[in-house]
Amino acid sequence: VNEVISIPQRQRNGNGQETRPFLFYVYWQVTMDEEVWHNCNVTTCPDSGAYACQTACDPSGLPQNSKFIAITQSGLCNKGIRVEARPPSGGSWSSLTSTTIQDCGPASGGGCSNPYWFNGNIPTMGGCLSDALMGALGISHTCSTGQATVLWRFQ
Amino acid sequence: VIYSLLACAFAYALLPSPAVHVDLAEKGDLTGDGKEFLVEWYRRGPLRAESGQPPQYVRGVTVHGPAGEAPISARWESKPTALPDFYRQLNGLRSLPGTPGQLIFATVQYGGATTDLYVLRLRGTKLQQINDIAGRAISVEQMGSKPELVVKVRPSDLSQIYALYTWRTGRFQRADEAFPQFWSRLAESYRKDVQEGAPRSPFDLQVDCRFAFRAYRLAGVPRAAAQTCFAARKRIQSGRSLAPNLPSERPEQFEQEKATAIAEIDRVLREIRLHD
Repeated sequence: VNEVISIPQRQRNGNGQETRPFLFYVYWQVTMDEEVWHNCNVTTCPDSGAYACQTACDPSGLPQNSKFIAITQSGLCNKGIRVEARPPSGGSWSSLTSTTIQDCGPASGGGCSNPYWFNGNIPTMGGCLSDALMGALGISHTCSTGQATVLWRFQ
Repeated sequence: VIYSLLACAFAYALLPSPAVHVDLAEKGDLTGDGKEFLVEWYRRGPLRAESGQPPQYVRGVTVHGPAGEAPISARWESKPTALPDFYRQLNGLRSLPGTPGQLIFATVQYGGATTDLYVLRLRGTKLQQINDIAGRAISVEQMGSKPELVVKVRPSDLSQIYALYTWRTGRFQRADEAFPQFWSRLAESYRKDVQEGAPRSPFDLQVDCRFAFRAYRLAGVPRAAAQTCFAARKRIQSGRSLAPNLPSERPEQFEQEKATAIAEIDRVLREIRLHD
Protein backbone atom coordinates (compact mmCIF):
# COMPACT_ATOMS: atom_id res chain seq x y z
CA VAL A 1 0.00 0.00 0.00
CA ASN A 2 1.45 3.34 -1.01
CA GLU A 3 1.07 5.22 2.21
CA VAL A 4 3.54 7.49 3.93
CA ILE A 5 3.74 6.90 7.65
CA SER A 6 5.63 9.50 9.65
CA ILE A 7 8.15 8.24 12.18
CA PRO A 8 7.16 9.53 15.60
CA GLN A 9 9.49 11.35 17.98
CA ARG A 10 11.35 9.41 20.63
CA GLN A 11 10.03 9.83 24.16
CA ARG A 12 11.23 8.89 27.61
CA ASN A 13 8.97 6.86 29.85
CA GLY A 14 8.79 7.06 33.67
CA ASN A 15 11.77 4.73 34.05
CA GLY A 16 13.97 6.93 31.92
CA GLN A 17 13.88 4.45 29.03
CA GLU A 18 13.70 5.77 25.50
CA THR A 19 10.59 4.74 23.60
CA ARG A 20 9.17 5.49 20.20
CA PRO A 21 5.35 5.08 20.04
CA PHE A 22 4.01 3.64 16.80
CA LEU A 23 0.45 3.38 15.62
CA PHE A 24 -0.01 0.42 13.29
CA TYR A 25 -2.81 0.53 10.78
CA VAL A 26 -4.13 -2.87 9.82
CA TYR A 27 -5.39 -3.28 6.27
CA TRP A 28 -7.90 -5.97 5.41
CA GLN A 29 -7.80 -7.62 2.00
CA VAL A 30 -11.31 -8.72 1.11
CA THR A 31 -13.65 -9.02 -1.85
CA MET A 32 -16.38 -6.43 -2.04
CA ASP A 33 -19.29 -6.28 -4.42
CA GLU A 34 -21.24 -3.41 -5.86
CA GLU A 35 -24.02 -1.42 -4.27
CA VAL A 36 -25.97 0.31 -7.02
CA TRP A 37 -27.96 3.54 -6.98
CA HIS A 38 -30.82 1.73 -8.73
CA ASN A 39 -30.80 -1.75 -10.18
CA CYS A 40 -31.00 -2.12 -13.98
CA ASN A 41 -34.26 -0.78 -15.44
CA VAL A 42 -35.62 0.30 -12.02
CA THR A 43 -36.21 3.95 -11.20
CA THR A 44 -38.54 3.86 -8.20
CA CYS A 45 -38.49 2.55 -4.65
CA PRO A 46 -38.67 -0.01 -3.21
CA ASP A 47 -35.67 -1.42 -5.07
CA SER A 48 -33.87 -3.96 -2.93
CA GLY A 49 -30.17 -3.40 -2.63
CA ALA A 50 -30.31 0.09 -4.14
CA TYR A 51 -28.89 2.97 -2.14
CA ALA A 52 -31.35 5.39 -3.78
CA CYS A 53 -34.03 3.92 -1.53
CA GLN A 54 -32.30 3.42 1.80
CA THR A 55 -29.09 2.62 3.58
CA ALA A 56 -28.43 1.70 7.19
CA CYS A 57 -27.02 5.19 7.69
CA ASP A 58 -29.71 7.11 5.81
CA PRO A 59 -33.15 5.51 5.79
CA SER A 60 -34.27 7.94 3.08
CA GLY A 61 -31.49 6.90 0.69
CA LEU A 62 -28.57 8.67 -0.94
CA PRO A 63 -28.28 10.64 -4.19
CA GLN A 64 -26.90 9.17 -7.39
CA ASN A 65 -23.12 9.00 -7.68
CA SER A 66 -22.58 8.85 -3.92
CA LYS A 67 -19.15 7.45 -3.16
CA PHE A 68 -19.18 5.29 -0.05
CA ILE A 69 -18.43 1.91 1.39
CA ALA A 70 -20.61 -0.59 3.27
CA ILE A 71 -19.04 -2.95 5.77
CA THR A 72 -20.49 -5.83 7.71
CA GLN A 73 -21.27 -4.14 10.99
CA SER A 74 -23.92 -1.61 11.95
CA GLY A 75 -23.26 1.46 14.11
CA LEU A 76 -20.25 2.72 12.13
CA CYS A 77 -21.95 5.38 10.00
CA ASN A 78 -19.75 8.21 8.71
CA LYS A 79 -16.50 6.65 9.92
CA GLY A 80 -13.59 7.28 7.58
CA ILE A 81 -12.11 4.46 5.51
CA ARG A 82 -9.10 4.27 3.23
CA VAL A 83 -9.51 1.85 0.37
CA GLU A 84 -7.53 0.63 -2.61
CA ALA A 85 -8.98 -1.79 -5.15
CA ARG A 86 -8.19 -4.06 -8.07
CA PRO A 87 -10.43 -6.23 -10.25
CA PRO A 88 -10.91 -9.87 -9.17
CA SER A 89 -9.20 -11.02 -12.36
CA GLY A 90 -6.02 -9.26 -11.27
CA GLY A 91 -4.41 -6.18 -12.76
CA SER A 92 -3.07 -3.11 -11.07
CA TRP A 93 -4.22 -1.61 -7.79
CA SER A 94 -6.01 1.72 -7.85
CA SER A 95 -4.68 4.66 -5.89
CA LEU A 96 -5.55 4.91 -2.22
CA THR A 97 -8.90 6.66 -1.75
CA SER A 98 -10.58 8.09 1.32
CA THR A 99 -14.28 7.53 1.77
CA THR A 100 -16.86 6.99 4.51
CA ILE A 101 -19.13 4.18 5.68
CA GLN A 102 -22.73 4.85 4.65
CA ASP A 103 -24.29 1.40 4.84
CA CYS A 104 -23.83 -2.05 6.31
CA GLY A 105 -23.75 -5.41 4.55
CA PRO A 106 -23.84 -7.31 2.31
CA ALA A 107 -25.97 -10.23 3.43
CA SER A 108 -23.48 -12.76 2.07
CA GLY A 109 -20.76 -11.31 4.28
CA GLY A 110 -22.70 -11.76 7.49
CA GLY A 111 -25.06 -8.83 7.09
CA CYS A 112 -24.65 -6.08 9.64
CA SER A 113 -23.30 -8.06 12.58
CA ASN A 114 -19.98 -9.52 11.45
CA PRO A 115 -17.05 -7.34 12.62
CA TYR A 116 -14.42 -9.62 11.08
CA TRP A 117 -11.68 -7.06 11.79
CA PHE A 118 -11.90 -8.14 15.44
CA ASN A 119 -11.54 -11.89 14.86
CA GLY A 120 -9.91 -12.23 11.43
CA ASN A 121 -12.65 -14.50 10.07
CA ILE A 122 -12.94 -12.79 6.71
CA PRO A 123 -16.21 -13.62 4.91
CA THR A 124 -16.61 -14.34 1.20
CA MET A 125 -17.84 -10.80 0.68
CA GLY A 126 -16.40 -8.30 3.14
CA GLY A 127 -18.42 -5.24 2.17
CA CYS A 128 -19.81 -3.24 -0.72
CA LEU A 129 -18.45 -0.38 -2.82
CA SER A 130 -20.99 2.05 -4.22
CA ASP A 131 -21.18 2.14 -8.02
CA ALA A 132 -19.70 5.64 -8.08
CA LEU A 133 -16.81 4.60 -5.83
CA MET A 134 -16.20 1.59 -8.08
CA GLY A 135 -16.03 3.95 -11.04
CA ALA A 136 -13.64 6.24 -9.19
CA LEU A 137 -11.43 3.27 -8.37
CA GLY A 138 -11.47 2.17 -12.03
CA ILE A 139 -13.37 -1.05 -11.38
CA SER A 140 -15.66 -2.34 -14.14
CA HIS A 141 -19.26 -2.85 -13.07
CA THR A 142 -22.79 -3.03 -14.45
CA CYS A 143 -26.09 -1.74 -13.10
CA SER A 144 -26.42 -4.97 -11.11
CA THR A 145 -23.00 -6.55 -10.80
CA GLY A 146 -19.44 -5.75 -10.01
CA GLN A 147 -16.85 -6.90 -7.57
CA ALA A 148 -13.28 -6.18 -6.65
CA THR A 149 -10.53 -7.15 -4.29
CA VAL A 150 -9.84 -4.28 -1.92
CA LEU A 151 -7.45 -3.31 0.79
CA TRP A 152 -9.17 -1.20 3.41
CA ARG A 153 -8.53 0.20 6.84
CA PHE A 154 -10.21 2.53 9.30
CA GLN A 155 -8.91 6.09 9.23
CA VAL B 1 -26.40 8.33 48.28
CA ILE B 2 -29.49 6.20 48.82
CA TYR B 3 -31.77 9.17 48.09
CA SER B 4 -29.78 9.92 44.91
CA LEU B 5 -30.10 6.31 43.76
CA LEU B 6 -33.82 6.33 44.48
CA ALA B 7 -34.20 9.59 42.58
CA CYS B 8 -32.33 8.15 39.59
CA ALA B 9 -34.47 5.01 39.64
CA PHE B 10 -37.63 7.13 39.82
CA ALA B 11 -36.48 9.35 36.95
CA TYR B 12 -35.60 6.27 34.87
CA ALA B 13 -39.05 4.81 35.51
CA LEU B 14 -40.61 8.02 34.23
CA LEU B 15 -38.69 7.91 30.93
CA PRO B 16 -41.06 7.19 28.06
CA SER B 17 -40.62 3.63 26.76
CA PRO B 18 -39.98 3.28 23.03
CA ALA B 19 -43.24 3.45 21.09
CA VAL B 20 -44.68 0.27 19.64
CA HIS B 21 -46.34 0.47 16.25
CA VAL B 22 -48.31 -2.50 14.94
CA ASP B 23 -47.96 -2.81 11.16
CA LEU B 24 -50.06 -5.90 10.61
CA ALA B 25 -52.43 -8.17 12.54
CA GLU B 26 -53.68 -11.52 11.24
CA LYS B 27 -55.66 -14.38 12.75
CA GLY B 28 -54.64 -17.92 11.97
CA ASP B 29 -54.32 -21.53 13.04
CA LEU B 30 -50.71 -21.88 14.18
CA THR B 31 -51.01 -25.31 15.71
CA GLY B 32 -53.04 -27.18 13.08
CA ASP B 33 -55.83 -28.11 15.46
CA GLY B 34 -58.34 -25.44 14.49
CA LYS B 35 -57.55 -23.05 17.34
CA GLU B 36 -57.30 -19.42 16.32
CA PHE B 37 -54.43 -17.17 17.37
CA LEU B 38 -53.90 -13.44 16.86
CA VAL B 39 -50.51 -12.60 15.36
CA GLU B 40 -49.14 -9.03 15.29
CA TRP B 41 -46.10 -7.69 13.44
CA TYR B 42 -44.73 -4.55 15.08
CA ARG B 43 -41.80 -2.21 15.32
CA ARG B 44 -40.50 -0.82 18.61
CA GLY B 45 -38.46 2.34 18.81
CA PRO B 46 -36.67 4.56 18.33
CA LEU B 47 -34.19 3.12 20.79
CA ARG B 48 -31.31 5.16 22.11
CA ALA B 49 -28.57 5.43 19.47
CA GLU B 50 -24.89 6.20 19.82
CA SER B 51 -23.81 9.72 18.97
CA GLY B 52 -23.76 10.35 15.24
CA GLN B 53 -25.63 7.13 14.44
CA PRO B 54 -29.19 6.93 13.13
CA PRO B 55 -31.96 5.86 15.53
CA GLN B 56 -32.45 2.13 15.94
CA TYR B 57 -35.60 0.03 15.98
CA VAL B 58 -36.44 -3.59 16.53
CA ARG B 59 -39.07 -5.49 14.61
CA GLY B 60 -41.06 -8.13 16.40
CA VAL B 61 -43.94 -10.58 16.33
CA THR B 62 -46.37 -11.41 19.13
CA VAL B 63 -48.85 -14.24 19.29
CA HIS B 64 -51.91 -14.15 21.54
CA GLY B 65 -54.54 -16.79 22.09
CA PRO B 66 -56.30 -19.01 21.58
CA ALA B 67 -59.53 -17.62 22.97
CA GLY B 68 -60.77 -19.62 25.90
CA GLU B 69 -58.70 -21.85 28.12
CA ALA B 70 -55.00 -21.20 28.94
CA PRO B 71 -54.23 -18.45 26.42
CA ILE B 72 -50.56 -17.80 25.71
CA SER B 73 -48.58 -14.72 24.75
CA ALA B 74 -45.38 -15.46 22.80
CA ARG B 75 -42.92 -12.93 21.43
CA TRP B 76 -39.99 -12.82 18.98
CA GLU B 77 -37.79 -9.79 18.27
CA SER B 78 -35.09 -9.04 15.72
CA LYS B 79 -31.69 -7.46 16.20
CA PRO B 80 -31.79 -3.63 16.11
CA THR B 81 -31.95 -1.94 12.71
CA ALA B 82 -31.98 1.63 11.45
CA LEU B 83 -34.48 0.70 8.73
CA PRO B 84 -37.96 0.32 10.22
CA ASP B 85 -39.93 0.07 6.96
CA PHE B 86 -42.44 -2.76 6.75
CA TYR B 87 -42.84 -4.80 3.56
CA ARG B 88 -46.35 -6.16 3.59
CA GLN B 89 -45.89 -8.64 0.74
CA LEU B 90 -43.23 -10.66 2.57
CA ASN B 91 -44.78 -10.62 6.03
CA GLY B 92 -47.76 -12.72 7.04
CA LEU B 93 -49.04 -16.19 7.80
CA ARG B 94 -48.44 -18.90 5.24
CA SER B 95 -49.66 -22.46 4.92
CA LEU B 96 -47.38 -25.08 3.42
CA PRO B 97 -48.76 -28.26 1.85
CA GLY B 98 -48.41 -31.18 4.25
CA THR B 99 -47.42 -29.00 7.20
CA PRO B 100 -49.81 -28.69 10.16
CA GLY B 101 -50.26 -25.17 11.43
CA GLN B 102 -49.44 -21.94 9.66
CA LEU B 103 -45.93 -20.46 9.66
CA ILE B 104 -45.11 -16.85 10.44
CA PHE B 105 -42.97 -14.98 7.89
CA ALA B 106 -41.25 -11.78 9.04
CA THR B 107 -38.64 -9.66 7.30
CA VAL B 108 -36.16 -7.14 8.63
CA GLN B 109 -34.05 -4.87 6.47
CA TYR B 110 -30.72 -4.18 8.15
CA GLY B 111 -28.90 -2.34 5.38
CA GLY B 112 -29.41 -1.18 1.80
CA ALA B 113 -28.12 -4.57 0.63
CA THR B 114 -29.13 -6.77 3.56
CA THR B 115 -32.60 -8.15 4.18
CA ASP B 116 -33.34 -11.14 6.41
CA LEU B 117 -36.40 -13.35 6.10
CA TYR B 118 -37.27 -15.06 9.37
CA VAL B 119 -39.60 -18.05 9.44
CA LEU B 120 -41.19 -18.70 12.84
CA ARG B 121 -43.45 -21.38 14.19
CA LEU B 122 -45.37 -21.62 17.45
CA ARG B 123 -44.04 -24.50 19.49
CA GLY B 124 -45.77 -24.90 22.86
CA THR B 125 -45.86 -21.44 24.39
CA LYS B 126 -42.84 -20.05 22.53
CA LEU B 127 -42.06 -18.77 19.06
CA GLN B 128 -39.30 -20.83 17.46
CA GLN B 129 -37.14 -19.30 14.71
CA ILE B 130 -36.63 -22.04 12.14
CA ASN B 131 -35.03 -20.04 9.31
CA ASP B 132 -33.00 -16.87 8.91
CA ILE B 133 -32.42 -16.40 5.18
CA ALA B 134 -30.41 -13.33 4.24
CA GLY B 135 -30.06 -11.72 0.85
CA ARG B 136 -29.98 -8.52 -1.10
CA ALA B 137 -33.50 -9.14 -2.34
CA ILE B 138 -35.99 -11.81 -1.30
CA SER B 139 -39.32 -12.98 -2.69
CA VAL B 140 -41.65 -15.83 -1.79
CA GLU B 141 -43.55 -17.37 -4.66
CA GLN B 142 -44.80 -20.50 -6.39
CA MET B 143 -42.75 -21.75 -9.32
CA GLY B 144 -44.84 -22.82 -12.28
CA SER B 145 -47.54 -25.33 -11.47
CA LYS B 146 -45.90 -26.68 -8.33
CA PRO B 147 -47.95 -25.91 -5.21
CA GLU B 148 -44.92 -25.57 -2.94
CA LEU B 149 -43.63 -22.18 -1.88
CA VAL B 150 -40.16 -21.18 -3.02
CA VAL B 151 -38.05 -18.56 -1.27
CA LYS B 152 -36.12 -16.83 -4.02
CA VAL B 153 -33.06 -14.97 -2.81
CA ARG B 154 -30.84 -12.73 -4.84
CA PRO B 155 -27.52 -12.88 -3.05
CA SER B 156 -25.04 -10.08 -3.34
CA ASP B 157 -22.08 -11.63 -5.12
CA LEU B 158 -23.59 -12.57 -8.47
CA SER B 159 -26.81 -10.71 -8.24
CA GLN B 160 -28.67 -12.15 -11.23
CA ILE B 161 -28.17 -15.73 -10.06
CA TYR B 162 -30.70 -16.63 -7.44
CA ALA B 163 -30.61 -19.04 -4.54
CA LEU B 164 -33.80 -21.08 -4.26
CA TYR B 165 -35.09 -22.57 -1.02
CA THR B 166 -37.94 -25.05 -0.60
CA TRP B 167 -39.56 -26.59 2.45
CA ARG B 168 -37.86 -29.86 3.36
CA THR B 169 -37.88 -31.74 6.66
CA GLY B 170 -39.28 -28.96 8.76
CA ARG B 171 -37.42 -25.95 7.37
CA PHE B 172 -36.56 -24.13 4.17
CA GLN B 173 -33.44 -25.57 2.58
CA ARG B 174 -31.40 -24.68 -0.51
CA ALA B 175 -32.73 -26.55 -3.53
CA ASP B 176 -31.44 -24.88 -6.70
CA GLU B 177 -31.25 -28.13 -8.68
CA ALA B 178 -34.95 -28.81 -8.14
CA PHE B 179 -35.97 -26.13 -10.66
CA PRO B 180 -34.17 -26.83 -13.97
CA GLN B 181 -36.85 -25.07 -16.03
CA PHE B 182 -36.36 -21.86 -14.07
CA TRP B 183 -32.61 -21.94 -14.75
CA SER B 184 -33.15 -22.83 -18.37
CA ARG B 185 -35.33 -19.74 -18.89
CA LEU B 186 -32.79 -17.54 -17.10
CA ALA B 187 -29.92 -18.93 -19.17
CA GLU B 188 -31.86 -18.25 -22.37
CA SER B 189 -32.29 -14.62 -21.32
CA TYR B 190 -28.50 -14.28 -21.11
CA ARG B 191 -28.09 -15.87 -24.51
CA LYS B 192 -30.58 -13.39 -26.00
CA ASP B 193 -28.84 -10.44 -24.31
CA VAL B 194 -25.57 -11.48 -25.89
CA GLN B 195 -26.88 -12.37 -29.36
CA GLU B 196 -29.59 -9.76 -29.84
CA GLY B 197 -29.21 -7.22 -27.07
CA ALA B 198 -28.56 -3.50 -27.03
CA PRO B 199 -24.99 -2.13 -26.91
CA ARG B 200 -23.04 -3.73 -24.08
CA SER B 201 -19.62 -3.38 -22.60
CA PRO B 202 -17.00 -6.14 -22.71
CA PHE B 203 -17.46 -6.46 -18.96
CA ASP B 204 -21.24 -6.94 -19.38
CA LEU B 205 -20.63 -9.66 -21.96
CA GLN B 206 -18.11 -11.42 -19.74
CA VAL B 207 -20.65 -11.37 -16.88
CA ASP B 208 -23.37 -12.70 -19.23
CA CYS B 209 -21.10 -15.63 -20.17
CA ARG B 210 -20.33 -16.43 -16.52
CA PHE B 211 -24.00 -16.18 -15.48
CA ALA B 212 -25.15 -18.25 -18.46
CA PHE B 213 -22.73 -21.02 -17.46
CA ARG B 214 -24.04 -21.07 -13.91
CA ALA B 215 -27.64 -21.06 -15.09
CA TYR B 216 -27.15 -23.76 -17.76
CA ARG B 217 -25.23 -25.88 -15.25
CA LEU B 218 -28.16 -25.69 -12.81
CA ALA B 219 -30.50 -26.49 -15.71
CA GLY B 220 -28.50 -29.68 -16.20
CA VAL B 221 -26.98 -28.72 -19.58
CA PRO B 222 -23.70 -26.92 -18.79
CA ARG B 223 -22.32 -27.37 -22.31
CA ALA B 224 -25.16 -25.26 -23.73
CA ALA B 225 -23.41 -22.21 -22.21
CA ALA B 226 -20.62 -22.49 -24.78
CA GLN B 227 -22.85 -20.95 -27.45
CA THR B 228 -23.46 -17.85 -25.30
CA CYS B 229 -19.80 -17.51 -24.36
CA PHE B 230 -18.56 -17.91 -27.94
CA ALA B 231 -21.09 -15.29 -29.07
CA ALA B 232 -19.92 -12.91 -26.31
CA ARG B 233 -16.29 -13.40 -27.31
CA LYS B 234 -17.05 -12.87 -30.99
CA ARG B 235 -18.94 -9.67 -30.20
CA ILE B 236 -16.01 -8.27 -28.24
CA GLN B 237 -13.52 -9.20 -30.95
CA SER B 238 -15.65 -7.75 -33.75
CA GLY B 239 -16.52 -4.59 -31.81
CA ARG B 240 -20.21 -4.93 -32.75
CA SER B 241 -22.50 -2.88 -30.42
CA LEU B 242 -19.69 -2.48 -27.95
CA ALA B 243 -19.34 0.35 -25.45
CA PRO B 244 -16.75 0.96 -22.71
CA ASN B 245 -17.90 -0.01 -19.24
CA LEU B 246 -16.75 3.21 -17.61
CA PRO B 247 -17.48 6.49 -19.43
CA SER B 248 -14.10 7.91 -18.46
CA GLU B 249 -12.12 5.06 -20.04
CA ARG B 250 -9.29 6.02 -22.35
CA PRO B 251 -8.82 3.99 -25.57
CA GLU B 252 -5.95 1.97 -24.10
CA GLN B 253 -8.05 1.21 -21.00
CA PHE B 254 -10.91 0.09 -23.26
CA GLU B 255 -8.52 -2.26 -25.04
CA GLN B 256 -7.43 -3.58 -21.63
CA GLU B 257 -11.09 -4.09 -20.64
CA LYS B 258 -11.66 -6.08 -23.85
CA ALA B 259 -8.57 -8.23 -23.25
CA THR B 260 -9.56 -8.89 -19.63
CA ALA B 261 -13.10 -9.84 -20.68
CA ILE B 262 -11.85 -12.24 -23.37
CA ALA B 263 -9.45 -13.86 -20.89
CA GLU B 264 -12.32 -14.33 -18.43
CA ILE B 265 -14.59 -15.77 -21.14
CA ASP B 266 -11.82 -18.21 -22.13
CA ARG B 267 -11.54 -19.25 -18.48
CA VAL B 268 -15.30 -20.02 -18.44
CA LEU B 269 -15.01 -21.91 -21.73
CA ARG B 270 -12.28 -24.08 -20.20
CA GLU B 271 -14.61 -24.81 -17.25
CA ILE B 272 -17.39 -25.71 -19.69
CA ARG B 273 -15.07 -28.16 -21.50
CA LEU B 274 -14.57 -29.99 -18.19
CA HIS B 275 -18.19 -31.11 -18.56
CA ASP B 276 -17.50 -32.85 -21.89
